[in-house]
Amino acid sequence: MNRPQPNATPRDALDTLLEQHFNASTTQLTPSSGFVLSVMDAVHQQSTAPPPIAFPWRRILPGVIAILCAFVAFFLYIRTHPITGALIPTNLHLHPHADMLASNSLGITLGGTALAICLTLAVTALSFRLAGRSR
Amino acid sequence: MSAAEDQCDAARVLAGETSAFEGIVRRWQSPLINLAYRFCRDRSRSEEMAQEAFLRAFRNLSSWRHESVFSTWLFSLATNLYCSELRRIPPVTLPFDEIHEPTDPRTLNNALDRDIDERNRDAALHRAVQTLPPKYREVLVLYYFHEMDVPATASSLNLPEGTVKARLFRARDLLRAKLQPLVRQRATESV
Repeated sequence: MNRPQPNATPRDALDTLLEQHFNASTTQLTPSSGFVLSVMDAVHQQSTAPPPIAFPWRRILPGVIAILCAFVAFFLYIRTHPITGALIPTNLHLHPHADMLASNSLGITLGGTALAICLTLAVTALSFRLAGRSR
Repeated sequence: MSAAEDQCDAARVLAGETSAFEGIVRRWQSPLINLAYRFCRDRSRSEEMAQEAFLRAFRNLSSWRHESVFSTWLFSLATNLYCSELRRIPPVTLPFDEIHEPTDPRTLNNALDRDIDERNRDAALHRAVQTLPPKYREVLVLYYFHEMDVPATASSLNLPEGTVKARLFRARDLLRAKLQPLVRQRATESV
């Protein structure tokens, strides 16, 4: 540090003014007597502090697996048992385009489920990122 | 200040000897506090910022790759911290237009006037520097802190030297426009 101007820009009156202003003896601070002690206290505190608590993956994993299994089972069930009654309103059978509406209704249900799962995953990912940042 | 001592202390800290960091703090406390003071002009805040810089250096010591000397790495880390800290809570600044023009040197008749003008000059300079946009102010502060060494300024700010020169040029332009009578007076004095 403090090697004088090998690549300095041309010096002029403004430089002299600014140099005097920034490097004036009145602005040369002497650290207060307890500064080193205070820094070292903080350093020791940091080095002896317990490491941050790890995310409880073990606890959360069974829940995640259960959700995934339920999701897969739901899709398998949908594929093997075409829904006709439960998800479709009763008066829909009277409608001239009942078949089309039934498939639309199923599509909406599945879309809603997929959207809800995506949102859940997005919120979980976001909370992981925020937690990681604050650590 | 010895680079070898820094390297030795850093190695000891990384080996688990936390107290070896004290040597680093003792060697660099004054430069780091003074650098912080040039940014914020507040003694207690500059010590707080310097302490935070040392803590960050302690936490990230393993990221020092020995490609640059320890001081370059430390100044870069501290500058980064100071700049973001001051952007978060900026020091009091004045709009450019609120700065009064310094006294015209031709009207100075006696020593008292000169003395007052000397103090006014420093205050006017300080206010003018504070009104600069942060990116120009940061470059200017570091350039004069590093005794007008462009490469040192550039490495502290992690910027290319060309960018530093361009920002210095622009910062000087802005200051020169505002402090014209002062600059003229200084030029006359130095002749």
